[in-house]
Amino acid sequence: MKDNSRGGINLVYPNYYLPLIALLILFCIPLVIKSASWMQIMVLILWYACLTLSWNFVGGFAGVLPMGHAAYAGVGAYVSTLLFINYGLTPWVGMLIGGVISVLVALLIGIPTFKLHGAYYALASIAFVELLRMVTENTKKIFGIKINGARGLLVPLKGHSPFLFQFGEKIYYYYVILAMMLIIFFISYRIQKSKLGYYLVAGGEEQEAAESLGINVTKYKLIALSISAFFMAILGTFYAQLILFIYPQGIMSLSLSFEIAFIAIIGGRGTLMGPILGAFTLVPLAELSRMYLSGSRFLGIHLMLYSSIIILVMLYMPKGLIGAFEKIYFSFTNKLFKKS
Amino acid sequence: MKMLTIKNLSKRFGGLKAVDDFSLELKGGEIVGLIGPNGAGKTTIFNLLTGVYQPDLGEIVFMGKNIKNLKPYDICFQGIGRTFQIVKPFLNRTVLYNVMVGSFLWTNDIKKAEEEAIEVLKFIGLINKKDLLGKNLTIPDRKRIEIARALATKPKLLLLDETMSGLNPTETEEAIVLVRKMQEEKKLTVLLIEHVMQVVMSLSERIAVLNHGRKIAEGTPQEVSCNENVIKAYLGEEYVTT
Amino acid sequence: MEAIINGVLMGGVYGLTALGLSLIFGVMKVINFAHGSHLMIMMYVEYWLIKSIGIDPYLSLLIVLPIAYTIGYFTQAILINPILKAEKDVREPLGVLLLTAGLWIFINNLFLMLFGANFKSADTVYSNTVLKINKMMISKPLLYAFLASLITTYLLNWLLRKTKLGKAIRATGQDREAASLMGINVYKIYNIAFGIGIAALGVAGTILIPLFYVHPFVGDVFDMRAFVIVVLGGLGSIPGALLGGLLVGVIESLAGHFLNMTWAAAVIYMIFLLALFIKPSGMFGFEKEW
Repeated sequence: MKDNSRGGINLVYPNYYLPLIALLILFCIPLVIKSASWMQIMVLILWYACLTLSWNFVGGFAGVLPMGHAAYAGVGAYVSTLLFINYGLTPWVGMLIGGVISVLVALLIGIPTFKLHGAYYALASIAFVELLRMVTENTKKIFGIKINGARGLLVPLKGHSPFLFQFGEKIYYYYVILAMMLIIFFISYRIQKSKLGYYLVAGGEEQEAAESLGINVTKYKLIALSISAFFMAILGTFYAQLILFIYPQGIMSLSLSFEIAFIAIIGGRGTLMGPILGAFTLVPLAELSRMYLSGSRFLGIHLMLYSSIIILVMLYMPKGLIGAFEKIYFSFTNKLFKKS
Repeated sequence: MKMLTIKNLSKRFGGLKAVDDFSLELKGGEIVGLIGPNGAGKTTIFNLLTGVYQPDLGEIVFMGKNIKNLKPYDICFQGIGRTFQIVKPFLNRTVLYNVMVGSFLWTNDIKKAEEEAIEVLKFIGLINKKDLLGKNLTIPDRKRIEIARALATKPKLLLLDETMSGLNPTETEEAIVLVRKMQEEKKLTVLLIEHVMQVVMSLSERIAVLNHGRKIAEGTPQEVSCNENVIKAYLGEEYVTT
Repeated sequence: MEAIINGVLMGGVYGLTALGLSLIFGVMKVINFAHGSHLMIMMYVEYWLIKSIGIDPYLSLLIVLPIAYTIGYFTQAILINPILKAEKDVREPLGVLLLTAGLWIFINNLFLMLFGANFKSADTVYSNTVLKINKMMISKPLLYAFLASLITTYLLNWLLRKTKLGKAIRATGQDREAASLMGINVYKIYNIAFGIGIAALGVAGTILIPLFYVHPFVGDVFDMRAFVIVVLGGLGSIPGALLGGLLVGVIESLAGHFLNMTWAAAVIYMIFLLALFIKPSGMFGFEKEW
């Protein structure tokens, strides 16, 4: 059993017991929770966890600050939905196509923007997602295909049809997103302990030094971005199939982008468990406050929550919640194992 | 064996000629010193050699290959490593991690990278500190990590930029021994920029002297220290001599 | 033609809003994402002043400016300086970026919660008056706003170039360490600069009242324009901000004339991205290595 609370906090994730227990709990949750609205919340929590984990490839490992990342989710959602509506293509496949297109878009925007320094990069990513949203909102048709602009697209209802990525009950969505989270998590884990991971960290911390050590920093950032964009697109499709309705302000919006970035950073940027921790603590809070505080005045309550916490985190806990969490966890397990 | 041939290298920044018609040849296995007053253009030459800047004029041929327009990471791959005047360790990572970044150049396997990195750390003498974080290291140790990292990329030519400044007498002696070790055991060629005269004089087989971007003298340490132009250029400056 | 003139006038106002951002960015290398939110706050303040004591906007500047300055000063002192200090050695203080981003979202939604999303407007004596020149209708408040922007720009420029304080500010912006070695309290200068930046917004908020509805998200439009302007005009360059503003104003106006308003916004963003890719330091800015 390693005591990893000193040094290298960014690399370490708590040793195996907690994640395994947590995983077990996650598997069993649908058997315990029967209410549809609570299941919805659970699904959303996992969805956000996936989003933040995907964001983490670029925002955490690569050391840049993408503040417009929802753009890729939007691309994925729109591609798969349009393919489904117009060609009857099952979203399972549409999802993958959306992923590929999203990667192409990412490369297109990544190549010029990675030349920019931190704040400029953030600005560019914001400009991009807003541009994408505005263009989509203003477009009624592209090449004869209806896009509906700001009114959004309705995913045709097919009832419970697993082959068409639609399920009658939330429990199916839950296991799908859980599986996705495990996949993305596993890939994060492997990358962190690989040449790609080391190179991303090096390039993110000291670009000049990294290049003198033979690292083509931009190339590796683009790789990270591609992986990230691919998963974001898939998650966009998932959302489309869950809510059965997508519109630009919902899925390719600046506020969603900020939510993702904030949650990931509050949890712990660049760490493995940080984004997950962030999602699991913040999303329930947000959803609960949304349930109990309704009305047009409170539309932004979840954003207020995230933003106020990020301000506090930046001032007092820049490494994110994961730092404090690890300290508590390790002091607990140390005491536990000292007895035996 | 000619390792590095620099011919008529020139670089301007706006109106300022930072490097003016600089030429130098290095043979394999040599230790050559590059000295000159502050602002003479020494680090600029390093930056030109490693692809950080593109030269306006001149040729750079390394091991028979023209490397003038290569990017820094390609140049590292060709076999030139460097350290920086202001050290840039990866502060939030361990010493081992820092060096592994270097050793990944020649392998994709994390186990192998770790083994190679440990070898380098043993060679440099930092093996006991392999788990310390970069930000918790002393300056001399940070300089050694810079060297270790560069060594992990298995260079044939190593460019050391003022690695000895700020060291106390013992540390300086150790550093001198290390450079000699690198020359003998790793068969490295070394080009070093230094202000610490003791180091330059004792290590270098040849020295080139730079002033205002131009080479004003070249020769053995003895020749250079008696050269009139050199003495004129340095008049009025103080060094950390120990 | 009318579109061009309107563009110029509006552009002047945009330039004014960008002044503060440019100054803050030039001095502290901090991108204040919450710039639009501060503008929004100032507009609300102005709105209340008009509603409660019915004072003419331009006169109310006497009250608004000190308020704005104080808000700015303390925002910097309490929220931003601590992070700047903590990240002193890091080349790119991303923590501040996140803080201001968080601040932006927080303030906007706070105002949404406290004051509702209703669009409010405050009428002044000349709110809807127009000036007729040839066959063009030019809104008088807009004209006044433009003049006010020019005057403020000139004053700010004078402050930076001719006064001792201004020189201190510029010195800090160019080389923080050298400045502190010369006895300048760098963090205090930051506070002052931020205060001045927000004061400029105070002027902007005041002159915009007759022209725009007041609601929690009114600042966002100006926020993005301001970023575009700062990038185009160059960071830290006051005349650059004004010129950039004029450029943006004209482009937007023309695009709005020939396309529709939302495409005009998209055009601005596209130009922004292009500008970032081609010349990040802007037309007049300093070529900074940071």
